[in-house]
Amino acid sequence: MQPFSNKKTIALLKSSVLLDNDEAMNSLYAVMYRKVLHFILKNSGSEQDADDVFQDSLMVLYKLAKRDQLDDVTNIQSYFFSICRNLWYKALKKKQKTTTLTEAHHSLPEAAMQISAMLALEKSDFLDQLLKSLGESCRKVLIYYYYDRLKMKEIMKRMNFSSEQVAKNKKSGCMKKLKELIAANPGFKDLLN
Amino acid sequence: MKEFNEDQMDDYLLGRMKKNEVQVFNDKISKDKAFAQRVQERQVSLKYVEQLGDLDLRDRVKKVHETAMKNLAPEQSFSIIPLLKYAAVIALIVIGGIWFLQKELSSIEVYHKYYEAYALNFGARGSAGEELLEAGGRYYGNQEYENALAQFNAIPLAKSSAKINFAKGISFLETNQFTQANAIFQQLIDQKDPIYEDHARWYLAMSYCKEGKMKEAKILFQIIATKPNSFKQKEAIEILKKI
Repeated sequence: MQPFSNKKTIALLKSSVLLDNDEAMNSLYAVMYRKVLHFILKNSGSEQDADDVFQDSLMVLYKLAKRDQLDDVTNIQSYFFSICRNLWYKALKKKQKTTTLTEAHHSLPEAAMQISAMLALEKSDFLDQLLKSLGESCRKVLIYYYYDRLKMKEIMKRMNFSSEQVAKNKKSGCMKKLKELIAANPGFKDLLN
Repeated sequence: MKEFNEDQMDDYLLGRMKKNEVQVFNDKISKDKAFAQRVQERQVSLKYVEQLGDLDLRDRVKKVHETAMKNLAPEQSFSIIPLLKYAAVIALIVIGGIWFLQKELSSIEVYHKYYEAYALNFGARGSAGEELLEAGGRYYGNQEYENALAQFNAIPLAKSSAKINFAKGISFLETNQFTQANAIFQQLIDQKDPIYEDHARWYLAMSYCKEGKMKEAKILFQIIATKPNSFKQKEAIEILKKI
């Protein structure tokens, strides 16, 4: 696959929700994956680390594009690489901290890791529960509006609503439902982050 | 006092509210506890939507990854003689170096190169407002800026200070709520705060950079560069040469 120009990559990332295609992401994989892999392998990482960092960076890039924060980027590939590099350095720093702790306190990190694993499991369980309780249409409406930042008109088309007002009412109803679900499980607020 | 509906709350939390409205909204948060509580609850709900959105996006990216791994062509090795290879690398470094030194930085590149959150310490004491301050400070130190904001915003106006406002400004900037961040930094500059005026000017410039407003940022860099002993003066001079 040929690399796309700056403008085209950004435009595709921005519109990929609307078009339901992943052209921009595929193009970045074709052009950037090996560079990122080499960088991470040379900097104490593994292939799995590279996969994780690459995917996390794509998510960051997608979100920036949706929030109109890439319009001034002069070179999308260098910019993407700098996101990967920063995420890897952060992960590496975290790994080094854990190593230092392990050396200093043998029993502590194990307990901490168990708690952290339990919290992650609880959080994932809650999100699953939330997904089921919210229902597919509410999940979609909320994600389209708040996460993908789509306009009501677009949501109306995608969800086959009869008018923008119907879409708006649905969004309000779903937010109310979400609020009630969270209120019914106060302990889960601590699982955020 | 002005009332705000849920759509306006969303605009505030998603950083889409107009600058003049943000000030009124912030005032209402600091004066109306019940309203502040509603805003905080709304923020928690949005955070859950963010997590659900992340789940969706992660699935999608994973699928792209799996397809890409199947399609990636095997790596080609160089067949040119080593000497030529080294010469090519050196030439590329020289050309790349010249290009890099001469290239103008975009606003977002300036932001990524020069921005770092300002370290602030908030001591622990006892009363209700100070517990919020301590919690906010702890979140701030852990780079959990949304949580920090929730705590700072709940501190009564009478107990607020320039330092808390400055920390809020940084937190808004970190969470891409530019209108709110800019309003706070501008306020500290306008008030000529003895401690945070210069710092606020630098972070307002950084906020403009992150927002893509290079013209506005440049004016501030020029002030920082020319004001004697200003915070980050050296960096501002350096940036002005590159933009």
